[in-house]
Formats: sequence, structure tokens, C-alpha cells
Amino acid sequence: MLTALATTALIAAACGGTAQPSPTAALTAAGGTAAPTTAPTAAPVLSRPVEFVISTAPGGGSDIYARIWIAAMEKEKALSTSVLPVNKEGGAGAVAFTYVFEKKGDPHYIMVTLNSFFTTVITQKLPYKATDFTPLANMALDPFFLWVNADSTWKNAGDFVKAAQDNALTVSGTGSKQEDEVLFRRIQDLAKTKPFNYVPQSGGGAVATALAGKQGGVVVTVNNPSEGLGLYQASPPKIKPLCAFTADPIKEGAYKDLATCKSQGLDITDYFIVRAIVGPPGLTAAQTTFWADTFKKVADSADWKKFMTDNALQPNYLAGDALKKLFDDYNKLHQDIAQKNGWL
Amino acid sequence: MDVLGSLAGGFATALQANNVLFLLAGCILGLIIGVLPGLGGTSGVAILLPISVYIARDNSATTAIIFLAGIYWGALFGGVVTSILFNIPGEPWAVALLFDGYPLAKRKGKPGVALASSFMASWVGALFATILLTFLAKELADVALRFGPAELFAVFVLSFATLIGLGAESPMKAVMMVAFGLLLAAIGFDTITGEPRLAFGQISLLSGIGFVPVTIGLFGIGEIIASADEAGIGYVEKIAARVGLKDILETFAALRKRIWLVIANGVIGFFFGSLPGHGATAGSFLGYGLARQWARNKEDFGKGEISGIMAPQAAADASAVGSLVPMLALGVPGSPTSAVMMAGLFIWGLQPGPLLFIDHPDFVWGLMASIYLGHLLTFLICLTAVPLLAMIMRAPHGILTPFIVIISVIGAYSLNNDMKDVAITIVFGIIGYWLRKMKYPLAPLVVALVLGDSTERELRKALIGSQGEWSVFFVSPISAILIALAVVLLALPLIGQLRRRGTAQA
Repeated sequence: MLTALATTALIAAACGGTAQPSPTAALTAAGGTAAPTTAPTAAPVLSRPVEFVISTAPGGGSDIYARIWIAAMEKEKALSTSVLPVNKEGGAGAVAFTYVFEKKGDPHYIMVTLNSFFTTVITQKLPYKATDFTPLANMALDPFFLWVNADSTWKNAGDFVKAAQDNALTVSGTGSKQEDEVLFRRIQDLAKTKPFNYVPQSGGGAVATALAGKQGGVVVTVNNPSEGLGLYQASPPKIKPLCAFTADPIKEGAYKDLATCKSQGLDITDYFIVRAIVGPPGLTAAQTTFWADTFKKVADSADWKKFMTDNALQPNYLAGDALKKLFDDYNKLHQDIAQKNGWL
Repeated sequence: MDVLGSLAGGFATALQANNVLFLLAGCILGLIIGVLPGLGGTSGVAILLPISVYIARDNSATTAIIFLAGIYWGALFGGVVTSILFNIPGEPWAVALLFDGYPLAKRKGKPGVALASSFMASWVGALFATILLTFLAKELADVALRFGPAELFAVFVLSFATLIGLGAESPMKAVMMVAFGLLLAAIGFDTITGEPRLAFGQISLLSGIGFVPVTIGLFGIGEIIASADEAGIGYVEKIAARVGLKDILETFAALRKRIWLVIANGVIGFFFGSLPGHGATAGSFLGYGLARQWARNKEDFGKGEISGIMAPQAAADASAVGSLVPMLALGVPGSPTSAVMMAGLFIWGLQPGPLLFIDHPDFVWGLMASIYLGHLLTFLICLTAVPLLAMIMRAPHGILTPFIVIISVIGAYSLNNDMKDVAITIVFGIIGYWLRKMKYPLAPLVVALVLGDSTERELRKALIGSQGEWSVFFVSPISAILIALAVVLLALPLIGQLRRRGTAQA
């Protein structure tokens, strides 16, 4: 036992020695000495480290976004305290949402959203609403693309719709009764297709992979641009996007000039993944503004802008009433879809 | 030649002083994180991801990925230590090591051999996996894409078939333990329908019953209660008085006899790891099951057989290497840990996927070369630590036992920083003691709990895709062969039993 402790101590010491030069110095620079950035008159909003709650596992879904923002916050010295990513996965987000909901009025807890923030709260009949949380800032809208296997004969959304009207197609997406299925049910409703045979997967990567390998007969997905990029850039490509569910064609990046699905007869331009940050219910106006301003700096950072271009995200910084309205709209949209499909 | 040239370039990158330094730092940090139960490669890489941002800025993204990958390798080696010494899994994939690692260390009194076996298997398995990664990454990624739900279901069924009888004296008891495990696996959020199952309205149960706290309880705590009950039969005296070079030589000899087993498990593990979304855990169980199935001394498994340590560990480490395949070749995560590494790539401003080979060859080949180096470094560090680690086992019961209990509880808590897991550990400690008393085998329960969820998910996905047609499992030749094999394996002992009964009656 003593030997064990001694060994561990030895290893730790050896390791501290080797790892020291860069990381430690860098950490102190970032966490310890950054200047406070709020208005000098008000008392500081934060008095201890912040928990950035993530409703997916490390590496999954919204996790990457939270971590990129934390890195950008440190780089831009946007905060005087440190921010810790905390993964509370499980129950399609219910575990994380409940955790943050119970921190009423505490500005040291913030959470990254994805659309399960709306769907799970509705379908799991949780004892609160998505709109109970304090919206802090929206960073971007993550569009959906319509993807097919690279050797598909469909040239555009019109071909896909025609096929879907004739046969019940096998489609795939992340989870059940979440954003991907929401979009497919909307397509089904709008284009009067046969009901899709929907295969739920554990994550966006698995969805794109299923399409690339035509696993279990999957012919269409609505992956986000970042999830399909690797498979699209493979040589030869494994999957390809037919169109984007956006109002305008994609202007730059790897998907430059990708047409809108609307131009191909599939008129959905109002459905995105909301990449936003919320706090617990009941934050004060000063606390809300503090976080909105902090994330404005992140939204304007070069790293985040590059990431948005690379992954075809639609920049859409929103705070205050405009963000509130976005949340209200999405809440209603998901409520309606859940009602229509008998998910309640 | 092209590949060899690139790899040589990669070694030139990986051998730069700062890269070696960060690789070493990563490996050692990974070892420490791996030894702490509850904290694994995934949490280790996630915890140190913020630091990698500065490494990427001050050095290069290549240095940062070498550092993160080092943590992954270190954790793979470190995770086995508590499994073998204390019967507490440090990592999910080290659970398979409980079956033979702890018995060899404690009941046979050879902790040094047990540890050295797992380290050597790790290194050899990973070496072959890395060679495959170097030369066949893209080709294997294409094969892996063809592995759909029907094929995966068949693989899981095969794992069940090879493991189900493990440690069972009575087949009925094994079946009951499997059923119990499947029932526990069913608790939580049903991802196929999006509905909670057996959660009784409890938010905390939505995330399910984790198998690591269950295993810590069943094996770690359960064993302690059981040995207290047996009034300290005093395994301790049996532990070899001197541990050192002799153990390592003995392990080398054992490895030479089992070299093909280890290589085969390296290859199987690598392929399993390269299937997106299926990491080292399932690979290590399959490796263990296959080794047991094809061994002549099947009855020695579960009692401290060295093959039962080497096979799962070679497969586990090789799976980890394999999980880099989808990240590099397809831009999709292969395992939870590689998903976090992918998040790192995004943060450093790189796009994971096949374009890395073209746009950032230094990065890809530097990483590849660092896998060879990182495993060698970790292996050497571990091997020198074996005598020290083995000495822990000679500590008196009075000191060791409370220490193990503390480690168990901390390990359970640190999984999710959640007291729920501590409660699960304690409850299953008591259940584990009772099951031991009643002579129920624990291994089938753990196997069912670990593989139950994935097996069910793949089964249902396959059936949704085929619109309910069961023929989907026999249309694909891969799944047809694997399922046929599983059925034969399951039926063999039954037929044997029936025949024996027949002759007895006649």
C-alpha cells in the first residue's frame, strides 16, 4: 500500500516534470490572470468556476460546440473565471436538462442546446418547459442537408420525393422522436410521401456511416454538414448531399453552391439545429446580459468563424427578445409535430 | 514503398524532442488516469483536451494529437492494474480481465505474472493492430462500412455463445444470470422508441444501470465480503515471496506459447474497433470468449488461465488502435475516446477525415508513428513497475481491504460524479456476496449487462430496416455464418449433456 502510494507519487512527479513547460504556463495565463470584462460598476457576476453542462457524451453531438466555445473564451480572455465542461448524458438530454433546471437563479451553470432540448422536454413530459430556462445567446443555426449514397441515381430532392411517394423508403437519423425524425415527418407531411421507415441510430456519425454502407437498406439521411463531411470528401466519395434545407444556396466552404431543397420543390427553410446557450430559470437581467456579451465575443472570434465556414453553419448570433422568440417558435413547432405524430 | 516512406517521415516527426516529451507525458498521465477506477481513456482525454489547445497553439496540432493519443494508450495499460490486483475494473474493457486476472494474482499468488501478461499482450496486440492501421486503414474502413446491424447482431450473438457457460456449474443458473443481466440492461432510455423503460419516473434511472458500478460491486465489494466470511483463508501467504525478473521471464515463455492467440486477438480486436461506434469493451469480451472456446483446457478459464488475460487485453488495445480508422478514413468517431479526440481536431481547426492524409500528412503519419512509440514506451514503463505493483498484494488484509473499499467507492462516484453509482456499487456488492454463496456464476450476468444493450439495439435496427423480416440475418453471408457458428457453440454442450444422460440411463 505504501509502495503503491510512493509509486504513484513518483509517477506523478516524473510526469509533472515533463509536462510542465507549456501546458501549466499556458493554463495560468488563461485561467488565472485574464482581466474581468464586465462593466466596472456592477458587482462581478461570477464568483467561482462555471459548469458548462453538455447533454451528450464527450465527443458527441453538442459536446464539440461547447468545447470549441470554451477554447475560444479562453483564447479571447472573455471570462475571469474558468469554465469546466460537464457531460451529463442520458435520457436524450433529460438528465442534463433536469440538472440545470434545478440550479434556479445560479449564473454559474450554463448549457449548450440542441433540438432535443425542445423534443425531449415535450415527449418525456418533464415537469418544466424548454422556455422556462433563461435563453442567453444563440451562436449559429446548423442546417440539415438531404444526403444519399454516392451511387444513388437521384439527382435532386424532386427525384427523392417521387421515389418516396411510390415506396416506403428506409431512412435513418439520430435517436427517436428527435430532430432528424422531426424533419423526416415534416417531409412526409409536406410532400405526401409514404410513411418513412425510420431507423434510429446512436449518433450523427453512425447515421452517416449507415448511409455510406447502405446498412439495413438506408437510402436517405438528413445529416448536418459536419457529420457527413469526411464521408463526402473520401475518394471516391461515399455519400453526397442533394440539397440544403436553407433559404439560400451555400455560399462558401466545402459545400459551395449546394442548391436549396426549396428550389427543388421541397419547401422547408425554417428548420435547423439551434446551437445556443441557456442558463437555469430565473437569471437576472444583469446576469443574462453578462453571458450574452461574453458569447458575443466568442461569436466574433476568428476560430469560431472559421469553424462555421468549414461546417456550413449559418452564423446567427441572437440574444434578448429575438432569442426568446426563436425559442418560442421552436417550442411551438415541436409541440405541433409531437401532437400530429402521436408522440405525446 | 509509398506507405513506408510516409511512415519514415512520420517517425521523423514523432521523434522530435517536444513530440517525444509530450508523448511520454501523455502516456504517464494516461497510466495514472487508467489506474484510477472509474476514470478511463475517454474522461482522461476529455479532461486534458483544454490543455491540448495550448499544446496545439504553442507547438502544433501533431504534438497535441500525439499527447492525447498517448493518454489513450496509457489508460489502456493502466486500466488493468486494479482489475488484476483488487478485482475492481479500472476501465470498461478491463472487465474481461477480472475473470482470470484476479484469480491468477490472488488465488494462484502470481500478481507479477498476471500483470506482465496483460502488459505484454497489450503491446503485441497493439503492435499488430498498428501495422494493420498503417497499411490497410482505408481498405478496412470500406469493409467496416458493410457491417450493418444484422452483421453486428451476429457478432454479439457469437460473443454470448462463447461466454455464456463461463464459470457455471449449472446451466440453469447461468441462464438465470443472463436473464438478470439483460433485465438490468433494459433499464433506462430506450433509444429505438425514445421512451423510458423500467425507470419508474426517476430521472437518474434514465441513464440506465452502468455496468462499471455493477461490476465494481459484484466483484470488488462482493469478493471482500465473501473473503471476510471465509475468515481470511489467507491467500496472502501463497503469494510468491520474491517478485521480479522471474515473473517476467515466466510471462515471456507463456507469451511465446500463445503468440498466435495474441496476434489473432490483435487482428480481431482491430477490426472490431474499426467498426464505428463499437469500442474496446465488446472486442475484449469477444476476444476472451473466443480464446476460451478454442482452448483445450476450457475448464481452466475463470481460475487464472494466462490466455484469459492475454486474449481480452490484446483485443482491447487493438480495438483502441482500430478506432482511429473511422476517424482518419471517414471522419466519423470509432469509439467514445476517439470521439473526444475528434472534438480536439475540430478545436485545433482541423477537419477529421480522409483529406487529412492529403492536406496534413505530417499529422496523420506523425500520429501513426507515435502509436508505435507510445505503446513501446508505455510497455517499458509498465514492465519496470510490475515488481512494485505486485508487492501491493503482500500488504496485510487489514490495510488492503479498507483501501479497496475506498477505491471502489471513489471509482463508482467518479464515473459520473453521481451518488447513484455509489449506491449501485454497494447494493451490487451485497447481491454479489449472496450470488457467490448461492453458487451463481457472476460472469454471465456481467456479459449480458455489457452486451445486452448493443445486442438489442442492433437486432431492432436490423428488423426495422427489413420491415420485420427475420430473413435479414441469413441473407447476408457474414451474419448467416456467424449465427450458425453461435448456434453450434450453444448446442454442443447441450448435446454432450443429453448424450451423457442417455448413456447413464442405458
